Amino acid sequence: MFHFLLLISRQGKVRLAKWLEPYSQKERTKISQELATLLTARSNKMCNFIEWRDLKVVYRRYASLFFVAGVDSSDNELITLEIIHHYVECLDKYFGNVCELDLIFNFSKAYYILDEILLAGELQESKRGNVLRAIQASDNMAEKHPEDPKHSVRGY
Amino acid sequence: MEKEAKKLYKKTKEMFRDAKKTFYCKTLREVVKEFRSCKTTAEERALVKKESAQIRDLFKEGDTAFRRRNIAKLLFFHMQGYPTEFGQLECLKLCTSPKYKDKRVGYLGLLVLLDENQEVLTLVTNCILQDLQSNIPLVAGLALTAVGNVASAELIKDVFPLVEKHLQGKDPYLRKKALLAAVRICKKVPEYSNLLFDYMTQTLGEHTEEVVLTGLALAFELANTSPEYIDRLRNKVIPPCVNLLKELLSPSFDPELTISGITDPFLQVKLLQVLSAYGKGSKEAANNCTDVLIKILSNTDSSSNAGLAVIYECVRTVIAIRELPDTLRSLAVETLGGRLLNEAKDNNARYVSLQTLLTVVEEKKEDVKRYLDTILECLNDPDISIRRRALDLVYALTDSSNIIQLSRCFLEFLETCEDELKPDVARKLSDMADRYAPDIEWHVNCMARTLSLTDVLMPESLISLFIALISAKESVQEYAAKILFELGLQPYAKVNPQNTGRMDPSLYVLKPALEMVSIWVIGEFGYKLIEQGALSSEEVVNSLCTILHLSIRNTYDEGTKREVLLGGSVHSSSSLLREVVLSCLAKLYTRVMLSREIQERILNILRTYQTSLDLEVQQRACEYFQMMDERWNTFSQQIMASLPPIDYNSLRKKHLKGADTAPGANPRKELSESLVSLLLDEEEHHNEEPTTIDLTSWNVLDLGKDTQSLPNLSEHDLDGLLFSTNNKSEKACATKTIECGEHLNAELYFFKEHSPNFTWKVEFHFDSLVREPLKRFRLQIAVPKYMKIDLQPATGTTLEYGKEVVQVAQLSQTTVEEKTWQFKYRISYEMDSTPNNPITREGIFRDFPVEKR
Repeated sequence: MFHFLLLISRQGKVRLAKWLEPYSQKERTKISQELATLLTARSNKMCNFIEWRDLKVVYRRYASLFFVAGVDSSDNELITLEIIHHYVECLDKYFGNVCELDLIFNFSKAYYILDEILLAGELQESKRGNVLRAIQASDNMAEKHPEDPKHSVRGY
Repeated sequence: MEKEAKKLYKKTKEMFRDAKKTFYCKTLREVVKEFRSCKTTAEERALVKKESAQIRDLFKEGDTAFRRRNIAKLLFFHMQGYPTEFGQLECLKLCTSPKYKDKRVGYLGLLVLLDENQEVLTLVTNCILQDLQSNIPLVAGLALTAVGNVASAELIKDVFPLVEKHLQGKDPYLRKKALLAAVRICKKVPEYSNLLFDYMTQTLGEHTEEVVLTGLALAFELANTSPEYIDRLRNKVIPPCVNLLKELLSPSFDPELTISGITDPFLQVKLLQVLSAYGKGSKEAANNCTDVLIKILSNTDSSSNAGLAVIYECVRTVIAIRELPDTLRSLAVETLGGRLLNEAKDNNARYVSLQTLLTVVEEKKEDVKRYLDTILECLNDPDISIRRRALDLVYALTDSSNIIQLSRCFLEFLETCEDELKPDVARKLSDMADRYAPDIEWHVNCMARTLSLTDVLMPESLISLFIALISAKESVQEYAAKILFELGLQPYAKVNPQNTGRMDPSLYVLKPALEMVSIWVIGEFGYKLIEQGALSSEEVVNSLCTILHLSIRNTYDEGTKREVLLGGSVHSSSSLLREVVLSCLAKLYTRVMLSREIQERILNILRTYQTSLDLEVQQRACEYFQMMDERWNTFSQQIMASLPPIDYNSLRKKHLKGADTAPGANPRKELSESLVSLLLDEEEHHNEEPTTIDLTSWNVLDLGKDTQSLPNLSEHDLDGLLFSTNNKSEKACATKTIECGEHLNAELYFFKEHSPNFTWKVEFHFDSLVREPLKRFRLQIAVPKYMKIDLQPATGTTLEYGKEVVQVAQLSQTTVEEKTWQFKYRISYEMDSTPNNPITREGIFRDFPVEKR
């Protein structure tokens, strides 16, 4: 189960933070900073897992961004990497060649996409098409019929 | 009337529009841009402060026009770590908005800004209830997402019937969300678990991939939260899972689900996890899935991460189900050692392979041994996590047939490895040598080399053990003195102590632990070698002189290193070193017939240190100098006589009890007692009282530290011989006291520890308030069933005025839910002046420092 998923830039800035366990705001900041320093110090020859407190941190770097997942220490680390990649692919499809700036200005979209992929810390949808269709439907409903949602289509 | 009202309405509306024109509220994009252009954190803080003030004002005015935009800004600030609590209420209002655009942002804010512990969450219950009933799937979806991510137990009890409705629904979009919301429901309200079984089993027959995937997540969670139902559900869960896995093995039906040639790895991994959770403990289930597991192991392509993930999960499943045939279990080990460790050449695969091998090494030692070479290669890996696992594995594979080869590997490893690994490697080497050493000389040699390579990073208990080993076996003492002289003192033997400036700079840094042990051993047993002429007394005295000189200059960076890594302290280790040197010289002087010249040198040194500024050193020098006088010849012979042999075996047992040596097994005695069974606890402690050696028959004068420690040759005192055990508790998180009556005071120092679980390490420091010694002093602690305590022996059994007795306890919780931490303590001691002995004090302590776990 995912306990958190963070997107941290190489400079240590948080670009997105999804917390699935009740961490206090102070702890959240502390954890982000701690992990940012830990990760930036690691070379790419090292493996993508760190034992951290009683969790396992699985991370992967995409360009200048670290995608950092805190999962149960008994979880399958390799499939966690695959889930991270799945999320990145969805972002890439949605934004079209996603870059860090897209995420900075449209972080809420990145959250919506993540909420279609993960729920209660578990993988919810492994089909990229389904994720994008749901987000598209949601975007349409927000834009087209702002006053009366009843007009929206039932399918997505 | 009506006309007038209409007119008024129109007018207000116009005014409102005008107001909007003059008032400008920045968009999210603008704020983000400005934030990014800030050059310093101070600027950032100022900007956030200004913007937050405006947002707060707008909230206060009850503004609705910019509410969505403002909440979005708050989300951004929150992500940057700024306080946003004032926006929580507005965020909830946004959720109730009929506009989907608002609602979406509102729910996002709910997920990001709030968590299950926030009181305000109760205010949103109605809104969630309403939205769950919405006939717009996207709206119901938002509500289900909120339930799945932040619902508290209270909220769950309110919304459960509606979630249940969606669990039976036709729409896969809502059903999958409801199934995962159910996963959270299981976790937060376990008593609802039995209401969820049927919904779970229904999904396994479905054809919609996401419903099956999420249904399996629920199945896995149910197995975790209510294992008592596994037997009942097994037959409903295992067959469909096996069938599905078989289907997935054939080429894919849906290209969208195929990742680098592997059909739906996510589903495969989940299926395997569920198989292992439900297959455990059933012969029938094992028979059912044997075929498909073999097929997955042999047919899955391991060239991609997705493939590796499936193979890895399959191996874990095979290992978890003990009922599977032995050949399959061997195949799993082969896959780990061969395909994952050796062929994959991928650090992630190596990591998971080593980690999993560790879990089977006990059972399949011979199978794992075939990959020893590859595992030894991993000791050179640049990644410390991989090296650490390889170390554990090599350690677990050691036996009498390969001890010589493997210990050599470990010693080589010690030469280059990071400091943080050294204590652990030393511990492993000590244990390996202890168990499998071919002979005693080899054992001593191995430990001496370990000490020379780890020095102050060698755990103190191991150093004590090493000394005890030499002391206990008379036959090895000469050999030990020889080898330790070579390692610790020889380099300094040829140096002119008056002219250390021209010395090889690498010798400049002393190895205090190695030197201390070497000097002690030379002093204790070296005289035999000198008598035989195997060791030149001149060289010995010369090297001791040099070390004395260096110890004054040296400030020991290693000291701090040790303090950081082991939590111990080398409190004034250089003066300790000087004391040991002086004792050694005095011993040699009395035990060996030395030449006149050497004797003069020793006396000279003692004379010099008689004026040392270090009080301990000065005292020692004065005492020894007096003793060397011929008048005291008979006495000094007795005083300087050899120490009685230390009982190695009992020390070793104590060490094994106290330290974690074997991987995966913690031999530390765990006292898990309920509050009622305080009596049981009492018995435990009788056994743990340190055994004392009766030394009344020995002629021992009070000669400072060296001999002070004699009457009670327990582990602690041996430590004291080398390092001061007086560990100041400055790093404690908090200090508390407990009520102990009029005779003594107790201070509790709390230290946080995180591995493997959250633990409070509590140091009890007892101080006597009365002149009379408190005898048979004992502390007992009992904890409720949900807690675990590990109480270590106290530093003494008599509490004297001005002397502290310290006892350490480690407290942790065995269950996950929030419980009040508490313990019951009883202190008992005896005083000669009172007739009603023993005196006891009892109490309950609940005042744990506040700390989020």
